[in-house]
Amino acid sequence: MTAARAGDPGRRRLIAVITLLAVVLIAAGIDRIDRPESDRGATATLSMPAAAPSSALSSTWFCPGGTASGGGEAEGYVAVVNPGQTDAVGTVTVHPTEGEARTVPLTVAASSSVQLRYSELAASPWRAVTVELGAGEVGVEQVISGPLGWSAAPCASQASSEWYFGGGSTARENTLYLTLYNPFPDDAIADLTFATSGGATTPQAFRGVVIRGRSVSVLSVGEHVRRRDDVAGSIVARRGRLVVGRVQVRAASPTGLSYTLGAPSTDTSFVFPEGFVVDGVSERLNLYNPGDREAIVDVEMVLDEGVAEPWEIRIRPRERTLLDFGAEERVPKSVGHGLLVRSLNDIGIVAEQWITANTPSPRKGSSETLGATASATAWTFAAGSADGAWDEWITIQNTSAAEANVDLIVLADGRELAVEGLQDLVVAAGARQTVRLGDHISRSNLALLVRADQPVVAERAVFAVPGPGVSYSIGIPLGLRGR
Amino acid sequence: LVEEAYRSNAGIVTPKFVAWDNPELLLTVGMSADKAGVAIPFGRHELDQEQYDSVRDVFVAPGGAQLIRADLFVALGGFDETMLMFGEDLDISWRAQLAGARVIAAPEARVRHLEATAAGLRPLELAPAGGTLTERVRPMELRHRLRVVLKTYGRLQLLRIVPQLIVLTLAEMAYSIAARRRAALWAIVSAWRWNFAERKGLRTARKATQGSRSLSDRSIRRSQTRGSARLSTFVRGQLATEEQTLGVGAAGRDLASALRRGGLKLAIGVWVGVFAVMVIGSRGLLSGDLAAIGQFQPFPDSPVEFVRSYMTGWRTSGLGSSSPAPVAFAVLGALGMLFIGAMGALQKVLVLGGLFVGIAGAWRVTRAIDSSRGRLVAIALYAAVPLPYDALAQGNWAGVLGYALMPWLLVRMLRAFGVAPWGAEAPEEEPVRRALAEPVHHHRVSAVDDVSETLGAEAGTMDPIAAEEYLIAEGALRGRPEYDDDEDDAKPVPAWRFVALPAFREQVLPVAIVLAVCLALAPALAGMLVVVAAGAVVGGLVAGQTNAGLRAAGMVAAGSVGAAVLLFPWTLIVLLPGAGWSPLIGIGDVASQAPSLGQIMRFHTGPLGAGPLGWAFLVVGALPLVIGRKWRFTWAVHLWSMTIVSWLVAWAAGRGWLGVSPPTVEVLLVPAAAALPLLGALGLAAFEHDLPGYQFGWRQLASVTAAAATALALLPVLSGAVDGRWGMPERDLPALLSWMPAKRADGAFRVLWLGDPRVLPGDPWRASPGLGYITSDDGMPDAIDLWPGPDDGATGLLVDAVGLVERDQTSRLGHLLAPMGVRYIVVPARGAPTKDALRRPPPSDLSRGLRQQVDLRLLDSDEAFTVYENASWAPTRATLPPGGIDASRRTGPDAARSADLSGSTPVLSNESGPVTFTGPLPDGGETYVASAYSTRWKLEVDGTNATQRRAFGWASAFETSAGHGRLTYKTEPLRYAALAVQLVLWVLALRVVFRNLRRHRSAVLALRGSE
Repeated sequence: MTAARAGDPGRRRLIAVITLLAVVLIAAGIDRIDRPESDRGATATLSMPAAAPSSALSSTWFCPGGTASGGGEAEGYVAVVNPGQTDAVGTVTVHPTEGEARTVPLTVAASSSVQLRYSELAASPWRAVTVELGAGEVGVEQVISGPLGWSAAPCASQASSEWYFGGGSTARENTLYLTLYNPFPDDAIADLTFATSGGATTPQAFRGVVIRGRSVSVLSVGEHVRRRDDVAGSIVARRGRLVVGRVQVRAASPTGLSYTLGAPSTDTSFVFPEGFVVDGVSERLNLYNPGDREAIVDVEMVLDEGVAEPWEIRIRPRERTLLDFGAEERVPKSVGHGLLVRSLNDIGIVAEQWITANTPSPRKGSSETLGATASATAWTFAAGSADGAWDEWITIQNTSAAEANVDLIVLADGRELAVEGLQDLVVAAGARQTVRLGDHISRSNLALLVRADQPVVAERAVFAVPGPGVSYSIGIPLGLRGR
Repeated sequence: LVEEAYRSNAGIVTPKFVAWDNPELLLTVGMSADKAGVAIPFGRHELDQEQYDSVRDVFVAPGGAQLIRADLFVALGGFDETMLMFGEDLDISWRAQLAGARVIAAPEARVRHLEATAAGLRPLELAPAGGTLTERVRPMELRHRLRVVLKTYGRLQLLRIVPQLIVLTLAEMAYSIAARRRAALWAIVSAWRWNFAERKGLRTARKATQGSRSLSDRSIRRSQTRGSARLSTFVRGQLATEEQTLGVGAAGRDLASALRRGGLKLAIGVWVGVFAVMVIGSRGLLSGDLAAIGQFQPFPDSPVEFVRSYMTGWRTSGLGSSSPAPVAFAVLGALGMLFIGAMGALQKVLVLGGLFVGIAGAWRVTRAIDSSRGRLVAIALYAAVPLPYDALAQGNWAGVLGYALMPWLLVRMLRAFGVAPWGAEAPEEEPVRRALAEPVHHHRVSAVDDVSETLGAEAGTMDPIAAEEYLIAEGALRGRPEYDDDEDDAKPVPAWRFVALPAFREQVLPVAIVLAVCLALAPALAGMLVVVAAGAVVGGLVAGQTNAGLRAAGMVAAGSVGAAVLLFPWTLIVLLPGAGWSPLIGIGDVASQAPSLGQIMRFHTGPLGAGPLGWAFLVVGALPLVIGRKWRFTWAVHLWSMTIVSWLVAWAAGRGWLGVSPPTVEVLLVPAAAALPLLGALGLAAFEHDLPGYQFGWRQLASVTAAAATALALLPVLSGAVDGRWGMPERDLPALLSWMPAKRADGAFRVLWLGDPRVLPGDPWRASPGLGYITSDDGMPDAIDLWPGPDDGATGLLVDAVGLVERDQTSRLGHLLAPMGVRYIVVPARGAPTKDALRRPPPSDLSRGLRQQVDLRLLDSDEAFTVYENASWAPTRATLPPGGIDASRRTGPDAARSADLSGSTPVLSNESGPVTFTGPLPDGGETYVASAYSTRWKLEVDGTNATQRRAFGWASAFETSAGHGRLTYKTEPLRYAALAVQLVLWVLALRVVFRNLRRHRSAVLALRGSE
């Protein structure tokens, strides 16, 4: 019996099988090529403060605190800048270490800034504040000042259950405060771990630290991690959410006072637009790896003149390391530079720049700054001053592959002042440019807006003239959130 | 007889009964009986070869002829006067033995018996007129048998026997309902009713019987048959077969028929194996509780709650709406009443029963295939498809229901193709129409004989439906000789190729009713119907049978339209523009979470999955495509087309390419899951019929490969059965959040659930791509929260607020949700708090945003879920503080953000139903009700209506004074009118279907009569 006689479909079978198979194979090909990436899983956290989007119903900033006694070693105030076109109305809620919280109304007019001293809000040894405004694109910085200096840095735009610091010191006559601020209604419980030159340590007193809801706790690290020149730290909330800031008081040479907001997560790349090594000015890079795997880190120096061979540094798990550029022969003296820090094996780290100035430099003080982990086309600064008592500098690092045109605008009492000589600054691709504001404008309350046509990183340096006070700080990026 | 009575000292002696016309044929040589009094004749219809020719004790001496000693007869009080026929022999024999007398058979005495009454030669005057002989006799048999049992057993023995009788009776009733054997059901019910009515006489008779007792029940039991004769009879497939064509009953009889026809051990082995795996795999669910995951939310304690929620025109889900209540409430309410309020048992039956119904359907749909082994392969493969177990493990009720429904839908749809062996072209149905419309014609009898021969079945016991099917087939064949296999040209047409073919329009209505019930419970099945219809059309195109494909698709479409009409007005909320499609059908996956095409093709969509072994299903299904001939090849093309369409739609849905919110992947894959086992059956049919026609070569190798693949495909389900729960978690969120309902003491509140739609407990609305949300009142959701209404009204405000969080635009979500009465926000990352439960974390934007809300208290957080408490919440019925009242006069999120409602006082805390609340009210305040504004909400204070106004632009506030308040929602009269319309539609539809069934049955009975 032939196949045809037996009713074999023959050619029809071939066509049907090929048709069905082809459809499946084409779909399988598309499926393999065009596989979407997952956007779920671990909570993504922007590891630096950033302003809420312009369309936001509200902006909330958490300032982890300073002293508020009126004559303390780190007297604090908040500076709020509103670079938007509408007034921002809201409240400031003060949470002291002792006593009841207090809420006061706050209005920040469009294109202007305001400052609020902690000591005027409530009397308490330390206090932290939450600034809530009914508008987006608002920036808030916390400023502390005392006999040993002046320091300003952004407040936190988000809380987190993890916070990291790359440096700090509990050496003799140095005091390292951690302010643990819990602005939420529920209590938080945190564990603190430190990496020092002597290895990792978790003092018993820093295990299970309870931070009551809507309160701030201040811990002096040196009471339990004694006499360590370099201390990096991890603060992990086993329950609840926190905002953690660090106040470093250095009474021994080099003296200084600095406030730094912690990093709410580790990251794999950091940008430091400003750096300088000269007699009397030292620059160091603290690198901390809080994870469980060794990190391989590349540090590249962007020199204004010449080139320097990059450093490749291995940081073992839960350890820190310090790179002292003053001791590095490949770093030319008196040549400005920026730093690009990258984790080559994608292990998250924390990078912190520590700059000190002392005699023979005319500047005196100490500043610790976390690097920028993102670039933006707009940055704002709420604090700053360029007058006879303060010398303010802005450095722009162009992180894009194209030339950037940059405008610096002063937000002064509801007006955007385009400062002459600071418009259309051209910054070559991958290069940096530093401008001294005092050469173009003299103003004691200098809120700034930096606009660029390419992604850049903006950093501010403020020096007290003549007396102690050195403060480096990355600006507050606009337009990064809510995308 | 007399001689033997003396010789054996017997009380009753019975002769050998032989047939009147054929004395070589035994009728009975005495009878035995089981503990329930079911008599079992010895030697019935056997050839008399003297095999029973010895004197022996029997339990029952048949009433046709018996000798009773006179003194014994007097001592027993003679026959029971209430039972003159059908059971009187059992009664007198039993009582005689109780009194110590022997009942024996003396086969040397032979009686020819005409059985005139049973043959219809003598009128049966004792039974009421009407119905068949069986229908008239059966009630008498049953009631007499029950009477005998109740009066002969001692008290202790009765305690043991009666519960067993009740269980057997219930099982028989369930079977009768399933098989639509109303007469049998009535007989069972009437037997108990009659004995209850006769209880006084029964008591007297019992007293007399027990008074004459000289033997214990234990001694009596030794002479009875062990076990249940009725059950044994059923298993042997010897139940009467006079009714209905389709349904579970038909599948059961069909099984019995298959067992008779050969391959008995194999068939029993496969069925027992499948059943055992199902039971073993479900043992934890049968003995324990279903986890409250996904759509398996607990039913309310009483069916009345379903009914009340159905009657009122107010949906409590979300922030409330006046949309029509789902028909599922009515269905579940009615079923709950049938289950006498055992709602947990009802839920288990509805969920787990789907597995068994689906497998029975697979058996039924393959009846047309001439391969009993192929059919066994089909049921084994259908039982092995991981899809229903993955659906179970993920709380996907729609997936399980789809699995149950699909084979039964295929029965109708494959017929609609009009292609052998499942159906014939419409014009050829004409002979059938005539057969049904007219009285019996003589030629049918010969047709029945042909069928009997073909099936090897005993004349007179063949399924009448099969006989009718043959007639249909015969008519069809005349117009389509190509249906027949070449090699069988000269033989009578085998009946297996054909099935009953009611007219297209007559088939649509039953399909519509079944679909209406299924769609009411699982609206997502609409997506499955679209896939099936599309598969039919594509299959028709590829197989070159476009019209057939369109006809089959038309059947599904027409059934769906019919179902939509029956579900009116609920259908409107799905069909109207901008209405609530997504929560009912599904809100789909985000592309990154959806399974890949490879996972879809091997049904790897859940914890059971099939892993690499899932490819085995494809290998099995490929066999008929490569070796099949004639209709086996044609159907392979059809079924493969349906499979591929099912895969592609499920895949495209996961990628978000369909343009609408799709159902879950399991629902869309059900057609493929049903088609591949069918292909397996076709493959075996091709192996048996087509392979011998080929020379030895690769096709033989392909067959061996397919056989091996079949074995491999069964492995995953075997391993999945080990845990006894099919991967369903043992713990659920309600267990961990059991503290939540107690918080009701602080005032009524809502819980907002946010997360991936596959891990949320219920049917979510869509908040954003891959993010769903649901609400529950005062704690955990229950089944009343399923099938939610549209969220285009006030409920949408919830998602607006959540959107602000996702877009990083607020840090005061608690304030925004406070007027909505939201006290807790639960964000599950897993379907249940166990390691093995499905893990689907929420979008990172949401997690990050929620953690930044300064007015949310983080209560609990682990890898499975996170719970926030709103520090600013206000009860859903409360008097607002002065600041809150002012804020409530404004609208928009700013009003909520600036309002401080934390000083609100709960009121109207007593619930008297879903929409009635009472309680004392304080003086000089406003009573706020956090439900969507409607003028039908009325608040009476001491009998006086309070003035209502809008609050926050969407809720209600009432100006109230001190007194007793009663808040209620007045259902619209239109709602009652709509319910009346719906009821009329259902009554009409059921009436038409039953009328058609009656016609059909009459034709069949007429056929039997002529036989």
